[in-house]
Amino acid sequence: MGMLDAADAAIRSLINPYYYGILVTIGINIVLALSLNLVTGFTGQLHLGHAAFMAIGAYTAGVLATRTEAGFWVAVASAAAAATLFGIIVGLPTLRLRGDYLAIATLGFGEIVRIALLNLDITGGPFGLRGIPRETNLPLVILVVAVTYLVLASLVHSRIGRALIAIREDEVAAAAMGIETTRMKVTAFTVAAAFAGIAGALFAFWFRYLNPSSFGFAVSIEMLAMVVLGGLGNLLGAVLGAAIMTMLPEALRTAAPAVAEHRMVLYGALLVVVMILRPNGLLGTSSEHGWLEVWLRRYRAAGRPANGPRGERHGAA
Amino acid sequence: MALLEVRGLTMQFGGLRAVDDVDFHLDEGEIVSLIGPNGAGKTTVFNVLTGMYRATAGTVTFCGRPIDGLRAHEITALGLARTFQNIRLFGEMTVGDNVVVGAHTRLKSGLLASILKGPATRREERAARERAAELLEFVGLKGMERARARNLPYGAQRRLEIARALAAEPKLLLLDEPAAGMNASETEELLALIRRLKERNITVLLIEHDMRLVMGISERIVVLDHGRKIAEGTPDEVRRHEAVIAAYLGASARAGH
Amino acid sequence: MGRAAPLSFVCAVAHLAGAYFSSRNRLRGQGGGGRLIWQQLINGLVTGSTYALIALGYTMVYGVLQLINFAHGEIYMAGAFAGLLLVTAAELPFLAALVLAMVIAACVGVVVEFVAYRPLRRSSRLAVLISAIGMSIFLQNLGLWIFGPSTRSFLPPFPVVSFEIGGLRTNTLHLLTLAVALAMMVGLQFLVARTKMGKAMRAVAQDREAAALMGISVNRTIAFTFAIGSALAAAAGVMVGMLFNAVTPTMGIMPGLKGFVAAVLGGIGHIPGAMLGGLVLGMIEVLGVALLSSQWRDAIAFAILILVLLYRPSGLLGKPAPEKV
Repeated sequence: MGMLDAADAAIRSLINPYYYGILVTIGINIVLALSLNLVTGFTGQLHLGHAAFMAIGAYTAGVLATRTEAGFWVAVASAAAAATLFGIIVGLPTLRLRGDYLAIATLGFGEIVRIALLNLDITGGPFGLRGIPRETNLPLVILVVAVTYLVLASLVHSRIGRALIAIREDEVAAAAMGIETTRMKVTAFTVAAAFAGIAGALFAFWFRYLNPSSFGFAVSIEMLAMVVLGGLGNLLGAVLGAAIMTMLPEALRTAAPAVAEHRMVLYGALLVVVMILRPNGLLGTSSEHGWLEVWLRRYRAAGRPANGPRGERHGAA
Repeated sequence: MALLEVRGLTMQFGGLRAVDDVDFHLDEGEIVSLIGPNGAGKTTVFNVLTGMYRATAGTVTFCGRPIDGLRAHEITALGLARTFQNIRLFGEMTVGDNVVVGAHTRLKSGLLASILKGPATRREERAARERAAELLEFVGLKGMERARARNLPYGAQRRLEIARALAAEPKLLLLDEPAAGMNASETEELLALIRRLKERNITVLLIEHDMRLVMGISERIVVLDHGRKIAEGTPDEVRRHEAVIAAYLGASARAGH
Repeated sequence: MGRAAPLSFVCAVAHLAGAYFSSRNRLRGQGGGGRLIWQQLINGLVTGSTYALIALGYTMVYGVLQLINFAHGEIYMAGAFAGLLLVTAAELPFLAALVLAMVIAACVGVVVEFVAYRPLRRSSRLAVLISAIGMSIFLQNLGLWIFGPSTRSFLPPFPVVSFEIGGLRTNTLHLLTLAVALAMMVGLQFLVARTKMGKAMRAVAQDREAAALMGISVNRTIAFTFAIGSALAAAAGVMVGMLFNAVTPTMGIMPGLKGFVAAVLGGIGHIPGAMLGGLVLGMIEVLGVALLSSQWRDAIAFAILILVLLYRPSGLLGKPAPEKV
């Protein structure tokens, strides 16, 4: 880690600790948003329990670091492995089901994980897990972000990635083209879980204290909002979405504390509005129409019966 | 030996028998049409053959091995590909990617190879792209690789579906109303395209309402009505078959001749 | 699994739980475990009837739109707040407050459909689901903003009398909850089976395009479905608010999810299924709490959900059907 440490010293001499901390958080969120985008953006499966995989990674790393002699890299690798394992266990049964059941099943899984963390002894229950050493630094986070981005960019432009996008576009047609849809969805889900586990480990080694409330449903929703803001199925969008949504509350905290406190109201509205006006994400390609016109056009479309070869109802079959 | 052998095929939805005890077969290299009035059960037969539905009863044998009960992707891998009546392309993907997805079962790279992209994977990708270009040329969409599938005109979307199915390297191709919504000259081109499939040694099972196309191209015709097979034979035999005239051709035959 | 399966399953669980209780109590030298389990089942029945009311809204909306209305739990919360304010601030008599709360919630439901779902009628399923989850988050946090995070007390505006029947303790509030739930379910059955709007709902659920061609106003029917489902959720919200003497902006999350679990358990899209699913879930939950501990209460519902989805996705009463291609 010699080079990383040297880079870290250089960075620390340039920026103050507050911004340094924000940059680390942005990096961790980018890894989470990128990996969630693989499942929701590219494969088209609504996943509402991503924070649970982050939690599994964080607690695996945290427990190993506080109760054993395991070093940083062993802890990170174990975090990824544990999250992968849970990804397979949860993904195999639930991904056989139609998309909207997956949303509920992942939500339920997220809650079960949170409840388990609250009630187990090894996790410290509601008091949390303390005393994790600080091993995460900014160069390391940047390295992980870069690796995540490169792996996912390569994956989506491959045989597997095309199959995932095909499933999003039309699952029936994808199966007819010889794609083993369940297996492909589980693959995407598991890869995403692994990266979330790594992000969780980085989180544990940065904040040094873990509490189940850091991994609740609202956190999964924040990740979803990052992906939707940047654009479903857009990797660079997920990076920007994560960066914006990490910095925004920080900026609002001093400028408009009431808004910062109730930012979940905005996130909720954001999800609705983006889906209606800019389904490709706020940062995606803009439509030529004004927003009011688009919105009204959609009401007119809702009243008409479907026509044409395939309407816009794809995925509704 | 028949390429496809269907025996006693029955598909029941609740109280409705969509397909009722249907037998037919296809020999290698044949062009056979499946016709019948709306709701006769033609598309349901396709859905059972391709593993989208599990038949209530009956057997399907393809290349001498039973395929009923196999999943859709397994059947495609064995060499049976299809198009859809209500075009089902991957709309947001490019035309080229749509065709390459069709070759999914013929490509090998798994998860690690997909991420690491070694020389073997890159070679495979290049070959798949070249083959997609060739297939697009075959269906008359040369040079359209980069267009988004949803932006193609209607007739071109139908032809893209055929190219995508051909990428799976099928022995048997199921075409579900490929001429629907096409004008006369497009239908003419389609006719020529299906004939050229024969040169590629591809057996074709066709569902079609355009009688000129059906009569002009089929070597044999199987007629369904209310889920049952009511006739089978050459176009001439079927044209003269009383049950068929009564059930299906009736009105138009009287009006036309 | 046949029709009798849910009942025999509940009996089996009850038997197990009874055995567990009697053994535990024998250690303490008390006895009477059987009575305790029946006491628990009464509580389960009351809770379950509120789950059933919530489940009906999910199932009806799923029937006409094939959409999981994630915001349903928040409408339940809005109904509870409306009831609380009408009783305390406006000092309305209970029945008037209940009816008015249902009307208010119905309006909220219609607005939610109009704003978040109708513009996406022709979009991908993923887009509608994301919009639904967004609406849920929005309403919940709007509630937090307006009402604050603290729990408000909701004392019933009538005297609650406790009494014993056959050695089992219950009270008038329990009975009223059961009566309200029963009345709603009977009313709904009548509405769906006998009225013109009910027929339109069934027609739209079967085939939206065909219903439109038959001259049914699809938009109006869907809005009506949301109104009815929301009103039922509000009734549940008001009753639960009084049962637990607590109303909070986040109160909709868990019951919302459990209402959905109940709908899936009974067979989503199936109205009697939702009623049965709610009651069965309520019972299983109290028995599960008796067997494990109350911390795992919420995990039990999710475990049931995942098991049902895996082994009988069509639910207890739904018929397995191949997906249309």
